[in-house]
Amino acid sequence: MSKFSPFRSLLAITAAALLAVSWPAAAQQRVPADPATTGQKAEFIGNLVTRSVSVSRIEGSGDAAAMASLAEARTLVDRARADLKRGAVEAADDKLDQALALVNSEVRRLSGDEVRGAHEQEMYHRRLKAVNTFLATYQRVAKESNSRAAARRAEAIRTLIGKAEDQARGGRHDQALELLDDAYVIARGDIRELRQGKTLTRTLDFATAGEEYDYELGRNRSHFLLLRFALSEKTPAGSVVGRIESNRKKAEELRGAAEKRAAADGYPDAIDLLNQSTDLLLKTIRMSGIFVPG
Amino acid sequence: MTDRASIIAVLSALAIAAGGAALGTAGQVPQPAGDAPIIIAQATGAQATGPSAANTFNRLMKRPGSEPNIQPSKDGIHDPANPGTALLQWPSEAFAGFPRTNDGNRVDWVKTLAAGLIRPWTELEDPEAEPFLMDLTIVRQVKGSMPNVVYPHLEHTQWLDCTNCHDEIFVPEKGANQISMAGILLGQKCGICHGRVAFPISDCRRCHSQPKTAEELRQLSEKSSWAKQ
Repeated sequence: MSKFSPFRSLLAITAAALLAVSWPAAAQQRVPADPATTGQKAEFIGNLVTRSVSVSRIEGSGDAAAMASLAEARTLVDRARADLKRGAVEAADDKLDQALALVNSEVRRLSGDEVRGAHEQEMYHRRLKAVNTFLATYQRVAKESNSRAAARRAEAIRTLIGKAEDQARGGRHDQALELLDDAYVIARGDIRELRQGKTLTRTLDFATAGEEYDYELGRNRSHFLLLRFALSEKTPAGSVVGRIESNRKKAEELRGAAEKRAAADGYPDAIDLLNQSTDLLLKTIRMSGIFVPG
Repeated sequence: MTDRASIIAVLSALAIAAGGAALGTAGQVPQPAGDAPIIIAQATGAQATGPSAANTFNRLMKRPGSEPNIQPSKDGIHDPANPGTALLQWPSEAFAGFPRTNDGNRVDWVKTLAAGLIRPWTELEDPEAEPFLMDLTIVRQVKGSMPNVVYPHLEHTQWLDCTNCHDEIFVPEKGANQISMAGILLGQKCGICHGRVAFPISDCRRCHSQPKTAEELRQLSEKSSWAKQ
């Protein structure tokens, strides 16, 4: 393409890299400390280390490392106040920054663990459901294929699932997930071995006339929806629009009649009526300008 | 175009397509019942305020009034005032030379992958990881003279992991999935992807691709013989 320049991508990447490299340097540029702003900063950070949401989170976590960091931050704030009293503004400012960084890093760590834990728990439950489904599928497929090794393989998968459940009960969802992943890899690999290269045909089989009626009713509803879809997509000629509407009404009447017959357990007749309705809709969809094969 | 540039282009395209769908579908699933007009194209807040149709939810993947693959500064997604936007590669440039189709972003992604023009990563942290391919074809018989539906696992597993579909969307068991065109149009089953980020349903033949033999038609007719008893 004429507008394409291989250098444009390179330029974008270079610009992004430059931004990334220069950003920390810019962020580290200090605003000169003065007694008024540093005094205000000491007040704010004093609040942060004594009665903030961050303090509640750290104290509520019971995490020894976080508690130690909080204690250190409080000491730093006290020392910063002392520095301020003796006019050592830069030194006070440094200590306040250190206190702020300590509290923030601990809160981030604790929040991260919480979020990660919740995510792992959710992933565990989803993966457990998937692995159980794949195990059931594998057992069914293996039975169809008369696979002798299948029982042993299924047992190996079940063992892994059991171990994963044990880990999860102990709150170690990350390790449980790893075990489930192993089970999943075995199950899907074994299913592939039994199914690879095959074509399975899902034939239409109805046990009862009522079952076939339900299927036909769904098919008929689909065709009504498809006709509306076709009309929103195409703009048929004015002369055709009247015929389309007339056919749609006729198809609706046929469906209504089918539903009445079905309500009286007359399923065979109802199926016939629905077939007539669907065939008419199919013809009408084609009239609207959509190509429908068959 | 390098592999890496291709990957970036594909990820951007898919993210844009998926983002558009996600924005549009929240709380806007149309219902089939009644005579209310079916909502095939639904404007999002972004379009309702006027600047762009880029995030329009559209079951047919068409964006009325909007060119496909326009430059980022005009797509309604990126901030045109940001100088960085001007540095972004245009999708039309990234997709140049890819096999074309008439839908979505006009790229036939399956053919593009088959031709080796792109190499998407299977795993974020392992560029060498290979996808788990499954060559299993499911044919679903349908009523009437309509050709049967052919579902190839192979093309799908080139892009997706088994757990993307099983078993939240499809239960891997015969007879366990009720699939209807109405449901698909309303964004269920196949419609979760098709018409959003994969080719839309406007061409029946892409799925209904196995014509019935005369023998099959005869057998189907006999199966529902109670309808004539």
